[in-house]
Amino acid sequence: MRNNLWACTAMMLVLAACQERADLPNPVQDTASITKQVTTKTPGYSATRNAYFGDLHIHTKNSFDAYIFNVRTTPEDVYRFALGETLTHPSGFEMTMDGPPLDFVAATDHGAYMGVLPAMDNPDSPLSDLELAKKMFGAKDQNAIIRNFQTVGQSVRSGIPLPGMYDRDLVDRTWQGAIDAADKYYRPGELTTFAAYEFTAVTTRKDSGGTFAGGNLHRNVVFENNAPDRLFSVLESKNPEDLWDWMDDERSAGRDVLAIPHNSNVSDGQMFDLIKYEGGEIDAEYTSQRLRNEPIIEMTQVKGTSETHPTLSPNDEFANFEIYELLLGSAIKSKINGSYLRESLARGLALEDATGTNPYAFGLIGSSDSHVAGGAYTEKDYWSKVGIVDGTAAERGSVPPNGAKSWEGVERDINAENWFSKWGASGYAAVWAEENTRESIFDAMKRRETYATSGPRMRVRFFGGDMTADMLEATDMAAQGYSAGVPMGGNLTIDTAPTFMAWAARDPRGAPLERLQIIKSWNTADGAQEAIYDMACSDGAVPDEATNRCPDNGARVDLSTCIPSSGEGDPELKAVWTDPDYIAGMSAAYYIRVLENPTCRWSTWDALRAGVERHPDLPATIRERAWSSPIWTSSK
Amino acid sequence: MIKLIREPFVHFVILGGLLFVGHALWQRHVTKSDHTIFISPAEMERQAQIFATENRRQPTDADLEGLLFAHVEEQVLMREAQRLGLDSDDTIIRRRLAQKMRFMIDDIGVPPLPPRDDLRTWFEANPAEFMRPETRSFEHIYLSPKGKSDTVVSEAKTLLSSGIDAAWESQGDAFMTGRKFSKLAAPAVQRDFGTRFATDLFALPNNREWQGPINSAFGVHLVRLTEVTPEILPMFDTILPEVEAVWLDQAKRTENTEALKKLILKYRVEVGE
Repeated sequence: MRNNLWACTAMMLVLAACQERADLPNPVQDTASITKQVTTKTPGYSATRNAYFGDLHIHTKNSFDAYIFNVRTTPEDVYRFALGETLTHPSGFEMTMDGPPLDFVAATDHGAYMGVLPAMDNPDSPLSDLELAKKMFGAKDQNAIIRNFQTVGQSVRSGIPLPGMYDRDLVDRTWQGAIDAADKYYRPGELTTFAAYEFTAVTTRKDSGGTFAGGNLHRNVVFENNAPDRLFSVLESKNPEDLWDWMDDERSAGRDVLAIPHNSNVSDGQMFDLIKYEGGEIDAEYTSQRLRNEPIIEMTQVKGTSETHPTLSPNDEFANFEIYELLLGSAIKSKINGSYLRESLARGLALEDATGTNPYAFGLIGSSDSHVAGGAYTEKDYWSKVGIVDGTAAERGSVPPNGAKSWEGVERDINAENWFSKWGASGYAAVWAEENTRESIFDAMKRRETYATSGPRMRVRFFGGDMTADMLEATDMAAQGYSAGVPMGGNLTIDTAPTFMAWAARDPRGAPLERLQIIKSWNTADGAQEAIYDMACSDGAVPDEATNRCPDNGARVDLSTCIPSSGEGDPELKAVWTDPDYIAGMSAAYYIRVLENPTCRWSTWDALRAGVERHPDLPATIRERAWSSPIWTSSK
Repeated sequence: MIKLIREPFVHFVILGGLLFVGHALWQRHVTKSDHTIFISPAEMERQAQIFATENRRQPTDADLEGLLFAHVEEQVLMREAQRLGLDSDDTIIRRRLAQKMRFMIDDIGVPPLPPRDDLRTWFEANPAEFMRPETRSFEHIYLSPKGKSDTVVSEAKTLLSSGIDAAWESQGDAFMTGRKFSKLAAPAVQRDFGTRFATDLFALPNNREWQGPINSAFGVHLVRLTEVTPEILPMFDTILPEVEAVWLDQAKRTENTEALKKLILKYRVEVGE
C-alpha cells in the first residue's frame, strides 16, 4: 500500500538485521533450501507485511466422507466459494460467505480413496460393479448406506486397502485434478491457492466396546508450488513419521511442503504425546524431523478448539470455549493430556531439554474443515460441516426435533446431542506476509508468523524484544516492532525479564474487543505450568494488580434479538508488557489471546430464526477470539 | 481342350480357385501380422525410463524382463478383447475416444488476430469486459474513541477547522494498517474499514483538502483524497495485450463451438419414443 521505495529498502535492511539476531534454530533455516523464482511484487506488497485471511482445510465430493453425505461440489467450487460465489448445500439451500473474499485457500480432500466414491456411484465406471458399491449406493435408507460405508472408514483406519476399491490410477488422476484446480484459480495478489490433501491417520482404542473410537492424528499436507504426481496416504502407511520421511524426500526433490495437524482435541492424547507413534522414546532425530515438517497446527475448527481444556486450566475463566471431546464416531471422551496446545507448549520445552530441539514449537492457524466445499465461519449464518445429516437446525440440535417449539420432554437426537450441537462456527487462518502469493504466504507459515481466529477477521500484531511503551503511539509501530525484536513465531534469547508488544484491531464486521491477554507456558519438574495476564482492558479499565485480570466490561447481548444490550468494548487494544514473574534461566512460550464482547452462538441464532426455545444446555453466547503464534524465550 | 478353355464355366472355376488361394494367402499374412507383437528398442527404453522415475533407480535385467512380460500381457489381452468386440460398447473407451476427438478440435490452433481497426471496433462494442472500477487514494488521521467516545467527533472537527499542516503524519492516533492508502476500490475499503466508511469515502467531493470527520468501525477519521480515478474504460492502445488476450479467448471458444457444431450437423439425430 505504501509506495515509498526508500522506506521499503530501509525495512529490508531492518528485517535482515533482526533475522541475524535470532540465535536459536529457525524452522526456515532448518529446511533444505529450495531455489525460488524471483518475481515482481504484486499490488499491495508491504515490507512490514499485511494480514491475510484464509482457510486451509476444505473437503469436496472427492472425500469419501463427503460424497456419502450427498456432497457433489468440486475443488474448483472451493475456489469459487472463496472468491465470493454462491454454492448449493447438499440439503438444497444456498451458501455464500458472509464477508469479503478469502485471501488464500486450499481444497484438502482425504488422500485415501480420493475420488473413488464418486466413481463407485457412477454406473459408467467399473468400480460401480463392486459389491460394496451396490450395497452403499443401492440402499434405500440412510442408515443402511452409512452402515455399509463404515467398511470404507474401517479401511482408512486400518490403513489396509480394500481389494478392488483402491484404484490407484483413479486416485492419481483425482489428485492431478486437484493440483490443476489450484493452479487454475491462483491469482497472485488476489487469491493464493495451494495443492493440498489430508493424511487421515486414526488410532483405534482396544477397549471401545463395539464402536471404533478413533484417535485423530489427521494432518493436511500443503505444497508450496510444485506438487508430486502421487500423494502419500494412510494406505501407504498410517505412521505420521513415515509421512515426514516422504515429505523430506519431496523437499529434496524441490517440492516444498508442510503438514498441518488438526483436531488434537480428539487425538486421545496422542497428537502431542511424549512417546513415538509406535512407542519408544522421542529422540533428537524425531524432534528435528517433526519441527521441520510441522511448523504450524490448526488449533481451531468446526470440530472444536484445541487451545486448552478447563481441566488443564482451572484458573482460565475463558478456557471453556467450543470444547469438543468425543473420539471420532463415538461417545467416548478423548484423553485430555497430550491433546491441547497450551500443555504441549510446555511439553515441547521439556523435550527440547532432553533432545536439543523443541518438536512442539508450533505456530497457530484456524480453518473450517468444511465438507461441503465452503466454510461456515459466521455464527449468524452457520451450516455445520458434514452434508445432508447436519444441514438443518433440527438435525444439528439447535432447535427441537419434529417441529416442537420447546425442549420440554422431547426426545433428543443422539447424534445432534453428542456431536453436531457441540461443533462451532470456526475458524480462519491468518498470516502476516509481504504479499498475497504462494511464496510469501508459505514462508510466513514456515516462520510461524501466523495466528488463528474463531471466525472474525481481527488483526493481531505481536512482537518480543526491546519494546518500549512509546512504540504503541508511533505511526510506524510495526516497523519498530520488527527492528526491535521478533514477531510472533520467533525465538528470543534473553537474560532479563522479556518484554512484549501486542496490538489487536477488531474486525469491522465483528464485535468490539473486550480484553487482550498474554498467556505463558513453561515446564518444571512438576510438569506443565501456565499463567494468564490481561495486558489491556476495554472501556478505560486497567488490569487488577493482584489478579492480573480486567474487570468485566459489562457487555451483554439481548438473547431475544442477538443485538448488544449494554456495554461498549474497544475498536482496538494495545499494550507493552514485561513479565513480572520471570524466572531466570527458565525457557517459556508466550502467546496472545484477544477476546471480543459476547455475541450469540450459532445455536442461539438458529433458534431465534425458527422462533423456538433455545437449547437449554448449549451456551447462549460465545466470546469470539484470536490466538497468536507464540514467541519462545530462552536464556543466553 | 481349346473348347474347354473357351468355356465360361471353366473360367469361372479357375478364377474362383485363384481368388480362393489368393484370399487364403492374404489371410495367412494378415493373421501372422495380427499375432506378432513387435517391441521396438524405443518402446523398451520408454518403459525403462518410467520405471526409473517411479522407483528412483535404474531397472535391473530382471526388472526389464518383468516390464517386457507385462507389456506383452497387456498387448495380448487388449488384442483378444478387440477380437471379441469388447471395445464396441464400453463407456470408458467411448468417453476416451470422444475426449481425444474434443482435444483434436480444441487444438486446431490459435485463430489469427483481426486487423487492429477491427479489434478496436470489437473493443468498443464490449466495454464491460475492460471497465475499471473507481479507485481512491487517500491519507487519513485516525482518532481513537478510547476513553473519549463522547468528545472524539468534536475533537476531530476542531482539528479540521484549526487547519492541518505538513506535520499531519504525527497527528491523531496510530492506525494498524497505516495512514496512506493507494488506489483502493470500494470492496477493499469496505474490507479494511467497514461498510459505513467505504460509503462515506466514495461520497466525498473530489478535492485535495482535508475532509470529514467520517466514522468507521475503529473510530473517527479526517481524510484527504490524494487521487481519484473514476470508473473508466482504458484507452484501447494502453491495454492492447489484454484486449488481444480476451479476444483470442473468446474467438477460440467460438471456433471450438463452431467446429463441434459442424460435426454434429453431419448427423441426423433421432430421439426414440
